[in-house]
Amino acid sequence: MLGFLTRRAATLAIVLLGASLVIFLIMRALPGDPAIGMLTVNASPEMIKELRAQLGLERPLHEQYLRWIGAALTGDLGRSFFFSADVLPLILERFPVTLHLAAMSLAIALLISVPAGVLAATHKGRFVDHLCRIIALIGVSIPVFWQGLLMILLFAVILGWLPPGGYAPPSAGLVVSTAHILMPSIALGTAYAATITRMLRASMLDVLGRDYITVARALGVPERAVIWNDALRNALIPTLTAAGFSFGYLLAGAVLTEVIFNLPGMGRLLFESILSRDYPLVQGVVLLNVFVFVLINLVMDALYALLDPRVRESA
Amino acid sequence: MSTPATLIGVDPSAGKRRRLGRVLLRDPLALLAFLFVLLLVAIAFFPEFFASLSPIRPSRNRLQEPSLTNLMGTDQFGRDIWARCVHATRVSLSVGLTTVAFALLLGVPLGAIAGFRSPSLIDAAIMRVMDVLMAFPPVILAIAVVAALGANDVEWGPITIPHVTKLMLVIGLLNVPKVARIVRAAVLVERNEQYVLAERAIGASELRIVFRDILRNCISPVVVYATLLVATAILSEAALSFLGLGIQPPQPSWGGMLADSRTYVMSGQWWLTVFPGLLIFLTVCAFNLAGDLLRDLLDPAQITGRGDA
Repeated sequence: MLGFLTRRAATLAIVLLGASLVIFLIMRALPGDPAIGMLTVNASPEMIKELRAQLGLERPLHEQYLRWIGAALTGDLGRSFFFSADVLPLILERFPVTLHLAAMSLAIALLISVPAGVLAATHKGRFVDHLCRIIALIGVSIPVFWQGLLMILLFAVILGWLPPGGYAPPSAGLVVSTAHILMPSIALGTAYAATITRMLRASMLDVLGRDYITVARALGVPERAVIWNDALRNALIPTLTAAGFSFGYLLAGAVLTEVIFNLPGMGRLLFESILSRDYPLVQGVVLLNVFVFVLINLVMDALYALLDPRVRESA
Repeated sequence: MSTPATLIGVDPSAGKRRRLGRVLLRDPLALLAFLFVLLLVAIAFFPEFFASLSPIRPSRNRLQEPSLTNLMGTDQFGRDIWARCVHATRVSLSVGLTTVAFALLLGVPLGAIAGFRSPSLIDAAIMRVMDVLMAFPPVILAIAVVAALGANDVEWGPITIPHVTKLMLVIGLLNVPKVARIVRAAVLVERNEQYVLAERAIGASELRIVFRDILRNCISPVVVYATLLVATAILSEAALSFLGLGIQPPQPSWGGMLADSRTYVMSGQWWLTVFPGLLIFLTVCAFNLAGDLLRDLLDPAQITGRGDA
């Protein structure tokens, strides 16, 4: 198990390094000079040159990259042009909001998808199955930003039940906090729920056809226990790992959701830093996103290996 | 020498045509999706036929509710929303289709080479690069690239790359790894088939074996995935346009129209929000359904078998 983890971690370290190179090249090697972006239109060429030197932009590219990645490894992601503050604390300050949103969305997604996936599989080909299929199709096809706007229109503007946006941390009181995070989490969670429902249905169908299920039934285990204990537990393993791999969609969806609902999270920070051409901040947020994404994949891999010895041996 | 089916005197396309008819009849939703895609293509080619009003010229009828003259109402500049939706169809569809074409153009050969040569250094090299690309949460990288390039046309020496093309390249590139993985997995299975041995025995070149024979038999999962990818690509473009990084105003785009509508949600002007989003939703839905339909069609084992997803 330890060997497996070490190998996976090594691969992922390479992936992270490659990803950081991609981010760096995108930000630096493409047309558009951050120094010009930072100064006013009538800045003199000398001023631009001076600022470029200050930012280290005059050095060779590989040196710039090594300096950046070396600093990043020690937690120094540079300084934001716009906020005139270090990048990492800026991001970490916004991170809990995104985490709150992601956790709530995941909870909502599981709350919908587990019963839906099981029902669809146990009623395969029947009305419930078709209904789940259509709802899941709607869930994967509906743009998260449109769903968010429609929800604001209905629940905030027309019905006036929920606030149209903004954020209240859990420390501000659970009711107020939940009222603010509920709509964004539903908007973000439904697409994820649809994906998980589809995966769970497929793996439930697979598990329900296995011999040990037939044996359990033959032994007189009640059908309810067969489905919710034996089958679901086995079907959840591949589903949850697959769900972990599509967590990236949640991160990307968080950008749109946070913009629509005015949540001060990492996604909105990314959006704002792009609008203000704050390159160190953009780099930092993207790098951190990739890091979280890759880390979750590693955890999912480990979880899978822990639960299924075959994966451990073949890798 | 081609597919095994022709060797035993069966025309596989005839069977597929019959099955297409049956699946369409059995599944009215799929039929609707099919017709909707046809309608979208018609709209993309002849927008003037479907909407006579200008999608760009402002008028005095600002923020009018839907009526007989303005089926979907008008926006903050008095432009007809139906006309704008219609004229945005072409750009959304072309971004969707070109993106997928680009992803296939790179992903299929890369996946085929990696699969055929697996395990080897080139396989490992290709797949690690794919892993790096896969490490990016999809829309995030697109946002970063488009942000770095700016939302204008890019000039590299004598070459001018229009912003729309840039969008297509970026979204396409992000999807290359998934295509490559699917093709690689399929090639890994196919290369051990009898007909490959037979090809080798009669001295066919490897290039011919891979690109003429093996790939032909790997086409179904690729076609299914490509169809689903059109849906994802259209969604990505809409998301980028919504964030102001995609299609630039005054050119109409569904995502851009939704971004404009944000200001008017709170004052209850619902038609600005509802209609452009509905079009994105229906289009994405139609391509997703088409993908599911193709999967049933190309892999009949999944219709009757239990591996149905």
